[in-house]
Amino acid sequence: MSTSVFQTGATEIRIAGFGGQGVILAGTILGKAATIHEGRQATLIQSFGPEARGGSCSAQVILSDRPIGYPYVTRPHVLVAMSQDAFERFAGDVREGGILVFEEDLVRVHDLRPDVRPFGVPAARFAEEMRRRMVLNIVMTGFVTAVTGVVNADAARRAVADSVPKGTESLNIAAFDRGYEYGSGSKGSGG
Amino acid sequence: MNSGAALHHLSFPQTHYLPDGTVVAIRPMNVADRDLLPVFFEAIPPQDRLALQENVLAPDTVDRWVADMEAGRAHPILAFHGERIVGEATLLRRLHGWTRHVGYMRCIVHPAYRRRGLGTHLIRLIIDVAAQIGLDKVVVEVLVGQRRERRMLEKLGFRKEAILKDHATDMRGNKHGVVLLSNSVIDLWRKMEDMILDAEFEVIP
Repeated sequence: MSTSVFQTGATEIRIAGFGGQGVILAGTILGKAATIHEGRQATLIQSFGPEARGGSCSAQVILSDRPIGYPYVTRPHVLVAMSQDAFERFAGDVREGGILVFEEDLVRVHDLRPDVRPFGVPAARFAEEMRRRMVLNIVMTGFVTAVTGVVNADAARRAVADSVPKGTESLNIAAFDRGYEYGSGSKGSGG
Repeated sequence: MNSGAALHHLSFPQTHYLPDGTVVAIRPMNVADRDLLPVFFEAIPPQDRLALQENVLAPDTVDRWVADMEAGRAHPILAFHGERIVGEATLLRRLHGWTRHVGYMRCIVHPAYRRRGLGTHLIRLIIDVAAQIGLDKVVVEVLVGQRRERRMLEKLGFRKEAILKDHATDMRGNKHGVVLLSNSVIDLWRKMEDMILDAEFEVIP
């Protein structure tokens, strides 16, 4: 079972970035971890910007121990910003006491409300170090898992393995662990 | 650069269970393993050694492997049952030039440990290593007569690219055709990229 930092029945998460960064896959993995591997409930709504590479893209994920009546995220407990545009658009919506997770080489955080805790990770750099830039989202998912505890790490690892193409599992899990380990070191430091 | 550093995204040692419950430990080779390799190779039947590209009983062969490993040109993985080496698989690469994105694989399993999935497991690990060090393609050469080995490789995603006539001369001086098979690691990552793009660029009517 997860050890979420949020004492709440349902956790709202928005993951936002450019199309092509794996935003939807990251949301799918969190949802699968909660439902298939933890026996909880989850919803995923995806929304798109212009349907072209580089357009904005966001996933709205709700995780809960109970059935979810309304699947749209209005006041996220967690915002995962993978682009500057995502930060500018959604940072103001984060719930009081919520968490901002951001890609620290792509997002410049400014004017953040003091009640929101920021956690940055150089996920793109880690992905480049692993020679596969498309694992950026998986690094991010590992980091989110570590700093928020919204899903259990083993459940998330299994969801990663279930969700990625056969043959790429081990590197994706290594990418998850890279983000998770970095997040475990960041926990409590506020980024 | 040593192979240990290059393999840092995979966690070792790994414990692998053969179908009969035999426990095999798998880890990257290190220099201290050098003296264990001749014992392993002596256990390979002479007939099987004919199918190997090099004379593995020659001391300078193993020395060259160690030198390649230390130079980052070879990433050998060893399987141990207790203290004994029972399998070896290596990814070789050229660090410069046209084929710097290509890895070349070899794999040898002790006769007493064959047909139990160990070779398959080692080859899968080599493909993982290739993906993790940024190679796009893994190539392996087998003799035309090695049909069982070829079938196993094809099950693991290798596809025939070419047959080279009279391309190998074995230790007895006999010529053999060589089948060149390759596994396109980059295709796996293209699948992941396609999966991401399909999910994120769905056309909304």
